[in-house]
Order: sequence, then C-alpha cells, then structure tokens
Amino acid sequence: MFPTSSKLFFGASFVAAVVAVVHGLVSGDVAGIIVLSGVAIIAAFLGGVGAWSRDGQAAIPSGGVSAVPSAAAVSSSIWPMVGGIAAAITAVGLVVDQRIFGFGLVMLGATGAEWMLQSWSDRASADPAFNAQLRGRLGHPFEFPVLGAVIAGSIIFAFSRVMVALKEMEATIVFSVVGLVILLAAVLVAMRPRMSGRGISALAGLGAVVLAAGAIAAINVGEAEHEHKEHTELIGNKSVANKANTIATVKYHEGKITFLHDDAEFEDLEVPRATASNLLLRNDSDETVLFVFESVKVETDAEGNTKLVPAHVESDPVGPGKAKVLTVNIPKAGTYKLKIEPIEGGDAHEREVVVQ
Amino acid sequence: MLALPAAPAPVRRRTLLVGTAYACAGLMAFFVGLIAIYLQQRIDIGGGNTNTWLPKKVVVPEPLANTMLLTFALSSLTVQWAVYSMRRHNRRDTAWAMGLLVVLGAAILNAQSFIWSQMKLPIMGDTVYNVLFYMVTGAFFLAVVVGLILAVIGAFRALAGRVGGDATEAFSALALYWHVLFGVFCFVWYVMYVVK
Repeated sequence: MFPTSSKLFFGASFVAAVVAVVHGLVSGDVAGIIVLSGVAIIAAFLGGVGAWSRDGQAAIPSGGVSAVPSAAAVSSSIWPMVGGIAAAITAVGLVVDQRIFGFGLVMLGATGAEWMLQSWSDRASADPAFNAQLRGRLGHPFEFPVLGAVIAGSIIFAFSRVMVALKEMEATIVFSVVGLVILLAAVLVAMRPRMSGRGISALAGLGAVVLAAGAIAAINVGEAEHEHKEHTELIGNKSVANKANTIATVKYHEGKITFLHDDAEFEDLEVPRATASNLLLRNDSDETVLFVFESVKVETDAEGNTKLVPAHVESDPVGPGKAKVLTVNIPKAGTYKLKIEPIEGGDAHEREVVVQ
Repeated sequence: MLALPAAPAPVRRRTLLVGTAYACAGLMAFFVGLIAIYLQQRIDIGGGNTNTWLPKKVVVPEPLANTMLLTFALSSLTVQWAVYSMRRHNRRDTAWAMGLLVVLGAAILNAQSFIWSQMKLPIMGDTVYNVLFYMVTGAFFLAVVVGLILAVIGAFRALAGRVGGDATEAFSALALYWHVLFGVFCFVWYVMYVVK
C-alpha cells in the first residue's frame, strides 16, 4: 500500500511527534518543541509525496503518455543524504563557528566529487559489478588515505577528551580496562579467521559508538581538576587562560547588585587592568535589564596620538532569570561604575568597581 | 580491452517532482529553525511579551501582511490552474495562468518591500529583533524570488508551446514549491505579523 520511502518518513514523523510531545512535557523548551514538530511535519510531507508519486515511479499524469521503458539499474547512493548533511553543517557553521563552516564546505566539495565519480561509473557499462570496480580503481587511492587520516584523527581526539576528563587514578583504571577489551577483541578476531566481514564491521562499529559516546560525555563533564592545579584566584593574573573564565558573578535582585564568587558574596569587585575579563551577569529580578559598564578606553587620533576617552560597554538585554557574559578591558586603573538599567524604564542601580 | 556495451540512459519519471519535494523539505526545515530561534529569543529577551520584545516606536503594518497572505492564497490557486491546463494540453489557459502567477508573485515581493519601508527598521538596531526580523522576512523574500524565476521560465515555455509530457512534470514541481512557500508564509505571517 505504502511505498518504501513513505513507510520510512511516516515512521520518522510519528517518532518526531512523540518526541516533541515528551520534550514539551519534560522541558517546556519552546525552540525544541518547534523544531521537533517541524521535523514531524516535514517527514509527513515527504512521506505524503513518496506515497503520491509511488517513490517517484508513478507515471506522469499527462493526457496519454505512452508506456515508459524500465529504468536502467543504478547503484544506491548515499551522497544526496551526505550532501544534505554537509549543506546543513555549512549553514549552521555560518552562524555558529567559522571552523564548522569550513568543515561543511570541505564536506560539500568531497560529496560533490564522490557523487560525480559514482554518477560517471554508473554509466560506464551495463554491468554493475564492472562499474563498481571501475569506480573503486579511480576513487580508492584517494579515499582510503583520507578516510584513514580522518578515522585516526577522530580516535585521537575522542581519546584525548576522555583522558582530560578523568583524574589520574581513574585514567589509569579506565585505560587499562579499555586496553584489555581491545586486546580481547583482537584475540577473538584472530582466533576466528572465518569471522565474516559483517561481524568485524559490527565489532568496529560498536567500538566507534562507545568511543564517540565517551568523548561526548567527557566534553560535557569538562576537564578534571588535578591536584597540582592552583586554586583560582578572584583577580585574574592576566594570563591567557584566565580570559576564558569569569572573574566574578554580578547578581541583580530586587534592586540590589551583589558580587559573587563560587556562590560566596564579597564586597569589592576588583578587575585587573588592561586585561580582557569576563563578568557573568545574572538577572534574578522579574524585569529585563541592561548591564552597563562606564569606564575609559584608548583612542588614537589621525596623527597617531593616543588618549583616554570615556567608554560605555553594555550587555545585550538580559531577561528575567537569564544570564550573560560581559567582557571588559579597562586600560587605566581607577574606580568605575557598573550600572543596571531596566529596559522598560525605571530607576537604574549602580555599584563601584575597582580596576587595578 | 574493455568491450562491454554502454549502459542505456536511465529513464526518469517523477525525479524532478521528488527532487523538488526534498528541496521544499530543506526550505521548511530552514524556516522552522529560524522561527524557533526567533520565538526563543522573544522569550529569553522579551520575556514572551510583545511590548518588551518589539523595539520602541516600531509599528508592524498588519493590513499589508494580511494582503500579502491573501495574494499568496490566490497565487497558490493560480499555479494549480496552470498545472490543470497543462495536463489538458490547453496552451492558452496555461499561458494565462502562468502570466497571472508572475504578476501575483511580483505583487508579493512588492508588498514585502513596502512592509520594510513602512516599518523603517534599521538592520543593525539596539536589539536582536531587527536582525531576526530581516533574517526571516529577507530569507523568505529570496525564496519567493526563486519561485518567481521558475514561474517566468515556465511562462515562457508555455508561450512557446511546451505543453504536456515532461513540461507537465516541471509545472507540477513548480506548483509544489509554490504551495510549500504558501504554507511556510502562513507560519511566518502568524509568528512575525500576528504574534510578533
């Protein structure tokens, strides 16, 4: 009744709809609900088109089309799907990160080349086996080294993430166990030389999934604190690493501004001079506010002379219960003002910040 | 020496239509993502309140947006009329329908441009609303431009007498794209011009 693609897409649509409902009930995250509902609708649309066109095989309804000869066999291709994923990665990278964008472009280029190669080889002769051989003869000398490098790089990266997330003793135990498992798997393969290629692929696939899952979990956990690591100082010491950290949390609640570090309140916020420092701005009030830092900055005139001028650094609007990071870099020591301004008007609040 | 005969050229049936459906799915996914970002920002920054979310002194011209929606509904009917005529080898009606579709498509673009000029909203404003508004409406404008280019090509093909057979398939694909555009615009219209 339903052609193959329809079954796949209607199934995907149903799953996405169920996930959207569950996600909505559990998290209430609006963007997630919309995206998952969108996936359900789009999959249902593709399922509908597949059913209507009989997977694209239905005759064109045009006033008496003569019988259509059967299509020549062409090999199945994953490149349209990979191309779609590459296009999506490129689009996301354009917004999120230049590296992801570059990766997407490379993936698009590789997909185009592979697709052309397969398309060309499919038309080389009427014998699919010969076509596949021809494609391999041209493509494999390029594909295998690149694929090997990508797999090796991925394994190294995944292991490195797991290693940095573990403490010293944990790392020793985990990698002893991992080494033992790999050894046992290798022994198993060696003792059963008749093991099918599919079995070995399944074993390797399982290992890849476990490794990827471990790396993702490790990235979420972050780097482990080692004993030799020094306690983070309240004031940044101008090192590069400290630029990525927040030196303090500025909390706004019921018209009061408080400074926090490791959830402990302190009186005077001191910011290092001439260093990019991040402040975590937390709005615990019920109104949307702006965090404004009134300070100075260096300006160079047309003749190359530098002078200090007043500067006004402000955050994006921070909604109720939300937080944002504000990066400040003050070239001159002194006492400056940190203001909180409600978007809808009303009284602004301020506190002094010392730059030294 | 290789002496195998060359493979016969593959016969395509509804490849264009199915390919267009996948392109439409991509288009829908793109707008679903954009709208999701828009609504999430509206909650995060504006607290889900239209008054705090919209920049001060910005008035969204709702009657223009409603006119645009009605024009789109008309154009969706028109493109289906073109497919109907094409299947019956009615060249004259096909040409009329395609011509009308081009005019309606141009009217939609004109309405969108007029909305932008009426709102007088700078692209880089004080809030993220400006960027998101132009991102959604600008991307949709481009999608309509693509549809309009396809419609112009179809209109010329119809005038030149290319009716029936493969030409029907091309028109069906255009109609599918246009109906999807209409569906997407209903979504965009509700979020950007009604909910805001």
